[in-house]
Amino acid sequence: MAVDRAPLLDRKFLDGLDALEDRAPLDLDAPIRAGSRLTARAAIELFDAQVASRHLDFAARALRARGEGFYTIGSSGHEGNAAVAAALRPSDPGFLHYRSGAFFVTRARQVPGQVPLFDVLLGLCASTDDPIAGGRHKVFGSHALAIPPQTSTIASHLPKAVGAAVALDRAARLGIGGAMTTPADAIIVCTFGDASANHSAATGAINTAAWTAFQHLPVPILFVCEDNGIGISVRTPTGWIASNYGSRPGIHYVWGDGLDLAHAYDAACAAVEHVRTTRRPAFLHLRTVRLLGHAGSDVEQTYRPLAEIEADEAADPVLATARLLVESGARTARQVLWQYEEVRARVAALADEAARRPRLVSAAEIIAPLAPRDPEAIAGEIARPTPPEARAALWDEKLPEHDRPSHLAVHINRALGDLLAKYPELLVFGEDVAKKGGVYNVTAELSRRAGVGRVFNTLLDEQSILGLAIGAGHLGFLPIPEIQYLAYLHNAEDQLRGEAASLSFFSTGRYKNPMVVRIAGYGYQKGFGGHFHNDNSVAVLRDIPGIVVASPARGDDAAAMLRTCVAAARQCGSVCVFLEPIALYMTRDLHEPNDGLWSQVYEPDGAPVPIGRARTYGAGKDLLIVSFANGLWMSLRVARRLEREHGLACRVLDLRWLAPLPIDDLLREAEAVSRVLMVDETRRSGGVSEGVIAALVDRGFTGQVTRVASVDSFIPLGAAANHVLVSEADIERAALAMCERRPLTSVAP
Amino acid sequence: MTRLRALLVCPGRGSYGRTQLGSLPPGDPIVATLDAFRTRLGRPAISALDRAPAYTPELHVAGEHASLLTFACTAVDLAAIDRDKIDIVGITGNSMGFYTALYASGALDLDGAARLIETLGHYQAGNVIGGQLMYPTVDDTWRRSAGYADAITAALAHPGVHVSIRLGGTIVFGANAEGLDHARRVLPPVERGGMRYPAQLPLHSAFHTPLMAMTGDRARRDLADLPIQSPAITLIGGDGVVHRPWASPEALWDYTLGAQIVEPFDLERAIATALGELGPDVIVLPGPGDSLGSAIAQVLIAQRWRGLGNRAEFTAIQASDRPIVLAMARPEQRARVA
Repeated sequence: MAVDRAPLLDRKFLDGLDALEDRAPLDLDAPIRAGSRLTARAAIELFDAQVASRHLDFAARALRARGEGFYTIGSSGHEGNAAVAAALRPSDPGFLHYRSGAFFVTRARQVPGQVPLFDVLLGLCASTDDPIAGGRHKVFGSHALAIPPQTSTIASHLPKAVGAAVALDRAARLGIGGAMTTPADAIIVCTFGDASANHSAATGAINTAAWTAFQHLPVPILFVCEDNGIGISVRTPTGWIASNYGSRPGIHYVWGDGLDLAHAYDAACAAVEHVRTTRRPAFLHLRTVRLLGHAGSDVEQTYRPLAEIEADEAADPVLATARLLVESGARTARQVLWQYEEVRARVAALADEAARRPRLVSAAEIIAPLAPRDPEAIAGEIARPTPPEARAALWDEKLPEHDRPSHLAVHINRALGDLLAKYPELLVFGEDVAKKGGVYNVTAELSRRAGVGRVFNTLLDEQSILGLAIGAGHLGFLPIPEIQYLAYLHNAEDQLRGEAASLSFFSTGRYKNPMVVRIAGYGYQKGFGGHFHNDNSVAVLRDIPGIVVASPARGDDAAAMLRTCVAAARQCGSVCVFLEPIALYMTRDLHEPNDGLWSQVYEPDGAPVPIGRARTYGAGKDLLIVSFANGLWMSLRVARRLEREHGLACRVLDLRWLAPLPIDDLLREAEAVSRVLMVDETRRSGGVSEGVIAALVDRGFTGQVTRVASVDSFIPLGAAANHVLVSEADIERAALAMCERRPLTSVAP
Repeated sequence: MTRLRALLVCPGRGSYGRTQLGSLPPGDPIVATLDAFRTRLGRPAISALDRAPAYTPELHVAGEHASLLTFACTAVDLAAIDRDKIDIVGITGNSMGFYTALYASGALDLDGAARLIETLGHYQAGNVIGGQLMYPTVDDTWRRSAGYADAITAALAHPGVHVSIRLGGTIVFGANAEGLDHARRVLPPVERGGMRYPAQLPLHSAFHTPLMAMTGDRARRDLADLPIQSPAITLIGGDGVVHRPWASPEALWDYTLGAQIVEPFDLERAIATALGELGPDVIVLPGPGDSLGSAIAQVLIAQRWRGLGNRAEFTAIQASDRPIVLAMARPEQRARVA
């Protein structure tokens, strides 16, 4: 039978304390140990935080046993991280992992009026009174303490921590530091475990920090790897962390013994000073042990020898600090015991109070902070004029509205330029976006016009690109990252799903990471590029709660929608994805060569396009074709042929927004026609058409509905691509079949 | 018997009222010590003030007398607390009550506390600087009301008006003469519990505001050697800072004679911090009167402590067998404490 080791650990502490002998009193302002920077008084204070963290772990298990608590991953054995918090300032943004109890309490003690014990207990009880997550998750987070909430289970918080560090000094260099909430001399701290250090998110982020520092660019981040030697049941090879991270280019490595408070503090101070003064990264390798298993449900004895478990318990850092305090004369054993028991009583009383607090009771309450968009505020932001002198300067006095009609890529370029002029805090970055102007020239000249500090190339790592967007968004920037191809999003999509989109949710709207992620995507590139440059999979975006997905088909819409997305990001903290159809970037014509019908004059103050509003072409009564992006362009061409060759009067609806779908517009047009053909260039499974048809059904549409969609396949090279993509012939056949003009023969399965 | 874990909230100077006359026990050694202290200074003994035939503002409201008188009543109550019933887990106080809290926590001994309070109190003799004006922030049910926010903002717009104390459901402004006139003009009259607001506290200076800067400077000179120690019991300041038993005496001295004098005293924050840090079973209000009880209750309601949502729920819990606020001025509640 599994033994609950929490009471044993508690008993071992008390027995260990009992064995200590008091010494001559030490002046509390003296070093706790000769040569250490840690005073006795500070050591007692940090011990208090360590004890609090330990009793919170015990309380988490007690609450769980009573059915009143719901989270038992604890911090026991990691209490040395109190020393790291003590070496930092409370205004240094902290991205913490889930064993950060003592860090959290220590930092809270640096800010008056904080109640960290109660706040943690409210989180354990999933109460709506939890001041950060409001009962949505147990996180270490606090707005007052500059700790954005993390769930941190897969090291997915490291890319954004690095992003924040890169953005931090950029704000000062761009002269917009005063608008930021984080002090210019702050540093970023990011904590994680030894097992998480192997995660691709961690290795990528640390690599990005090294890549940046290697070029002598500032990236003031302190990585803290709390090495307890095991990840759930998998041991970390002895020496792995030191060997792997001990000599990375650009990263200063410091080892600290988290089982010895004074050593940990001195090491943390050295690491923090390095980062703060050099603005270069440091890697603090902090020795810890894992006590009480991975979580309350983890029966550690099934995979670890008892001797090993007991050896870790013997190294208990809380007992080690008690020993340090008593053996130095800073405290008597009786005083330490009082402190330990006093905190126990406080935590128990607070746990009772937390357990009585209200919990989330409805879906509406739960999702309230997901996407709180304010259409009026967004409209107002769009209407707010750009200073004319800023535009004139950016465009070298040659304003783009005087240019000839142009295609999609040019409109996006012009809109980006105007947005750079309007928002000094707006950044454009990604692979090749600077001097090259992007693969498709969409960002041409912007780096020269707005400066390399605001339009810049990143390294080739999408996770880091999105991490930079999140981190920069945290600090007050308006990031517009570019993902070069839709297929490249997939290795990084958790940065959107698990991190960016969830921030407002897990912080009840207290933290926001506004951004507009531009992604070039979809197929139809005449056989070139194959899957990785023609990807048409959007399922990963469609189900992310709260995000906005825009997908324009024409230049004027693209410019207006980009302005809307940026306004939503700025006003509401929205996370927006802007999916650009590569095949239409350079398309000028619609029906005939040189008809110019897919080109427009750029209008800097064009009519706004609200989120979730579609555009309808024509007013035909025979058939409604619903589509977006390339499908829209093809549908318009087919609609004209249907009219001319078959006498069918169609109307065509451009969704424009894939999330949220323009359901009201869709239903209105569908009911006016009662026959709906959905043309979907994304995959049949998980593609946009699933959402459109489901929305029609949900809203009670009783007319005829069918769809053509791309095949559930990766896109092959060459002409073979056409076999899996929706074609105009497919659309035409389906339309005629619906209207009973000709039987449907080979619509994509 | 399980001891109740208690937060102590020491009252400020305005709590000694007409009905408290004659409340000090004859022959009490604390009172005797304070009497001797006052006599040495050539000032009326505390017990003489308490035994005065009538309540007069010059003796019982003026800072130079009322401060130590209030302290004496509170200190006598503190000594009467039965430690077999009550485990004091934290202490705070309102305004001058913070000085009493220093004594109650062991940060100052009786002589030190008397010297601190008498020094600051005596500065007031014939020298009231500006004034304090009270105004509600809660409705009749003691829930936070947004209805007063605009008026409060308008009052604070005057450069001579400052937040002095955040007193639960009451905000206390500290202002100079022009500021007081301005505040009275822009704050709509409110009737509440027999009181008309805005209400000026008689003979009170604009404590806890920048207007007291010179007083603060003087106190730092006169009390440079005030022997403040680390508290024996956790002490919470009017800035929400928690001073644990190993807290730096220098930091505590600095706060007491620095920010505490010239920056807002946020009793609401102090109590909220104490609740969230210590999780007390009860809040004990020692000293004269129970007028601070409503402010404490309003903080409890704002914090939803023990589920309290309004005044009626507070009244019900007070009438239950587990009252949450124990005012030692109320015999039935005192019996649970002393």
